[in-house]
Amino acid sequence: MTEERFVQLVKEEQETLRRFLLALCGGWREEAEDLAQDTLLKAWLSCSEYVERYRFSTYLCKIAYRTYVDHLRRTAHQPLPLTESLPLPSSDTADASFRYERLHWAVSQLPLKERTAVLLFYIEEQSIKEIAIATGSNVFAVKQQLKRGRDHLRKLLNDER
Amino acid sequence: MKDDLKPLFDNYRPELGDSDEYMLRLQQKMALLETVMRYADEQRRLYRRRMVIAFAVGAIMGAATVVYTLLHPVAIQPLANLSWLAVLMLRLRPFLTVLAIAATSVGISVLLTPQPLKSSKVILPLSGE
Repeated sequence: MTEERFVQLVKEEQETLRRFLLALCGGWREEAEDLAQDTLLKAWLSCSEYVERYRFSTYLCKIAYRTYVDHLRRTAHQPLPLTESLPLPSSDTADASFRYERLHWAVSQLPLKERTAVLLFYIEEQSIKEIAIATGSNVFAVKQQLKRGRDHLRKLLNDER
Repeated sequence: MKDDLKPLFDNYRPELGDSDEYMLRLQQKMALLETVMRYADEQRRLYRRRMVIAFAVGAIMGAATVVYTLLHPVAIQPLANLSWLAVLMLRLRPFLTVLAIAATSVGISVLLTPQPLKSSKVILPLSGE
């Protein structure tokens, strides 16, 4: 794949990828932006592995998911500074930024597999099969994760209201 | 059945900043990465070449030592009293001696080579967290 082609494909996909990673990181913008850049650089380094029969977004999601899991492993033993603790949900639903905060909070409460499946399905609009490819799971497991993820998310959002 | 979560994510449009600027930054990093990769490849090639040269030099030195010991057995006889290694060297088969000296030569080269050059794998992130 040429650099021009890669840049063209990334231009089409980068916004969705960044939205996906922002939601995956529970709204932590800096973390999500760093992960997005790392994902795209890794994608560039290994673009010879990209198989054209899959969508480019699936290829990016697969790398993004692995990058996020690696990031979690790296930071697993680093405690969050007090100033960076997770935001608490509030009852004010007036403005748009808060609506995202509520969604970010609810999404961040989901187990990783469920969260990934839900976000890939809704934000990246990946099919079940594509989610299975991206997360290295099988189709049956993804269906389960998606179902549980939706149920958990609904419960969290409804309880919070 | 109507999916009540879909509208929630359809309306999920957080402010992400300027896309052109983002792409520009990415392309700058890609260029930087290319430079780093080229440098790492070049260093790896140099490293391999040095290893081959070290092995060749070691093999030649080993062959010369074997020839010398065959031609002048008396000259190296006092070595036998010095250490078990010397005795071993004298008793080893000639080609093993050559290999041993060549391997020692390569080993010394490896020890003298800085650690980052031994593997050219580039680890992300490069942005420096």
